[in-house]
Amino acid sequence: MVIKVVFSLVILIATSSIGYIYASRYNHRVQQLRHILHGIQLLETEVLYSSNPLPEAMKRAGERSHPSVSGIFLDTAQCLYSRKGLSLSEAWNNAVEKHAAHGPLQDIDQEVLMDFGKQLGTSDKDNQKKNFHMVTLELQKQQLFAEEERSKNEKMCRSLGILAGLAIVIVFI
Amino acid sequence: MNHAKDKNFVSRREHKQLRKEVLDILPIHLRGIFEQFPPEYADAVEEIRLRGERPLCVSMRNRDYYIDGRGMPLSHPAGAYQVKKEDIEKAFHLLTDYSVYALEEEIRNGFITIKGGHRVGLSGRVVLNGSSIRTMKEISGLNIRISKQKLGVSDPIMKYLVQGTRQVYHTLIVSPPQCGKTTLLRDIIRNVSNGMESLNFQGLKVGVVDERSEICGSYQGIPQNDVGIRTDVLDACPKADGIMMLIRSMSPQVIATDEVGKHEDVNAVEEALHAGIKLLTTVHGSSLEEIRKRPYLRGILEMGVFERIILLSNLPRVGTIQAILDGSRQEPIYKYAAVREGEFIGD
Repeated sequence: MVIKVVFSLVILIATSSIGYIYASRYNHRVQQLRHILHGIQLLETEVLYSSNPLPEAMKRAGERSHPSVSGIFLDTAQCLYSRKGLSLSEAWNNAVEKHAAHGPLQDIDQEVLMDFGKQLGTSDKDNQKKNFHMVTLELQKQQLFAEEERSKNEKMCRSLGILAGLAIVIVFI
Repeated sequence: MNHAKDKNFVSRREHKQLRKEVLDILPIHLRGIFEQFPPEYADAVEEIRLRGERPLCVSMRNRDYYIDGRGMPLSHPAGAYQVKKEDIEKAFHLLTDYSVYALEEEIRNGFITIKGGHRVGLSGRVVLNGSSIRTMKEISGLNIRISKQKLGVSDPIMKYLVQGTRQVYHTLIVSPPQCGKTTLLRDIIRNVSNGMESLNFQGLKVGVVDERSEICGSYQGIPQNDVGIRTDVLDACPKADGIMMLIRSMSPQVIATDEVGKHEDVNAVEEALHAGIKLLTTVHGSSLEEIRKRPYLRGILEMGVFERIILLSNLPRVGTIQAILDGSRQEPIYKYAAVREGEFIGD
C-alpha cells in the first residue's frame, strides 16, 4: 500500500512538472520579447540621440540590457570590432541565430529581428528612425501574440500535466 | 633624415605593408590583394581609387598604377582587377563603421576621415533637399587619400618663424596644390605648440580651425596626427566662425588654419589680429604675384600683416621650401640653396 502511494505521488509530481515546464516556455517567450524590445530601445537611443557608431552602440546596449538577451548585442559588437569584413546584417543575423538556437524565440521573432538588421546603419537618421519604429511595432505585436498564447496554453498545459498524472494513477494503480 | 629618432608614430614593421587602418576599410578580398602589394612601393602610395566597374587604381610618385588580382602594380589598365559595385558598398559600410547616420554631415561634405587621419573622398548620386545637399547615395567612387605625417619637416625653418622665447611671427605659406602645404603647416603647429628647446622657445597655446579635417585628421574627436600638447582643435568648423569661437572661448595665442581666401575669412583674420593673436595660415598659389591678383588676399597682403611668407614648390621635389620672405620688406631671408638667382619664385 505504502509503495502504491509513493509511486502514485512520484507519477503525479513527474507529469505535473512536465506540464509546468511546457507552460513556462510560453512565459519565457513573452519575457524574452520584452527584454529584446528593451534592448532595441536602448540601441535606438544610442543611434538616434547619441549618434554613436554601431559597434559602440551595440556594445553599450548589450551592457545595459537584460543578461538573457545581451548576447545578441554583444556578439554583434564583437564581430564588428574585430573587422573581419562581415557586413552588419551578417554579423547581426549570426548573433540572432546563435541566440535563438536554444531559446524560446520562434522563427517569426527571428525574422522580425533579421529584417531589422538589413536596414540598420545603412541610411540617414530619418530612415533609421522608421526602421526602429517598424521593429518596435512588430515586436510589440509578437509580444501580444505571445501573451495571448500564454494565457490560452499555460493553464491548459499545467492542468493537462496534473490530469494526465491522475489518469495514470487511477487507471494503473 | 636626422629626425628619425623623433617619435615616429608608425614603426618600421608597419611600413612594409599599407597601413592597417587603410586595409581595415577594404572588403576582405581587396585586403587580400593589397596584402600582396610589393612592400617597396607601400610607402609611396598616395591614393587608392575604387571606381565601380573600372580598374583598381593607385597613384604614387605622380603616376597612376593599376593593380591586378595578385597585388602587382601595372602601368596599363589591361589585366587589372575590376572593382565591383559590391566592393564599394562594403568598403563604404566598413569606413562608416556601419553607421551612415552618424556621419551625415561628413557625407554631405563629400569626405570621411578615418582612423589614422586618412581621408576618403566620396562620389555618388546626390540627394537634394530643396537646393541644399541632403545626402549621397549609390556611392560609386571612393578615393582613399593616405595621410603621411612628416614629423620634423619644419624643424630647420622654425628659427625664422619664432620671435624671442614667447612669440611667433604671423606666417603665410604660399604653395601650389600637392606641394606639402598642409604637411608643413601641421608640423609648424606641432613645434609652436610643443615649444623648441634648441631655440629656447616655449610653447604657445594654439587653436586650430580644421575645416576639412586635413590638418589634424580627427577621428571621433581625437587628432590622429601629432599637433602638439597645447593645441585645441575645432574640427570640421567653418573657418570664419571657428576663428571667432576660438577667440571668444579658448584664449589661443596662435590661430592656425588652412587655405584662407574667402571674404568672411579675411574679416575673421582681421578680428584675430585686433585680439593680438598670431596667425599661421596657408594659401593656394604659385607666386606672390598670383596671390596679389586675388581681391581679398591682396587686401591682407597690403595690410602687411604677414611678417613671414614661406614659398613652397615641388621642384626639385615635393615640399621644397623655396624661400622665406620677410613680409614687411618683401625680401628673402632664406633661399633654397640649389636655386639660382633669377629663378626665384615670387620675387
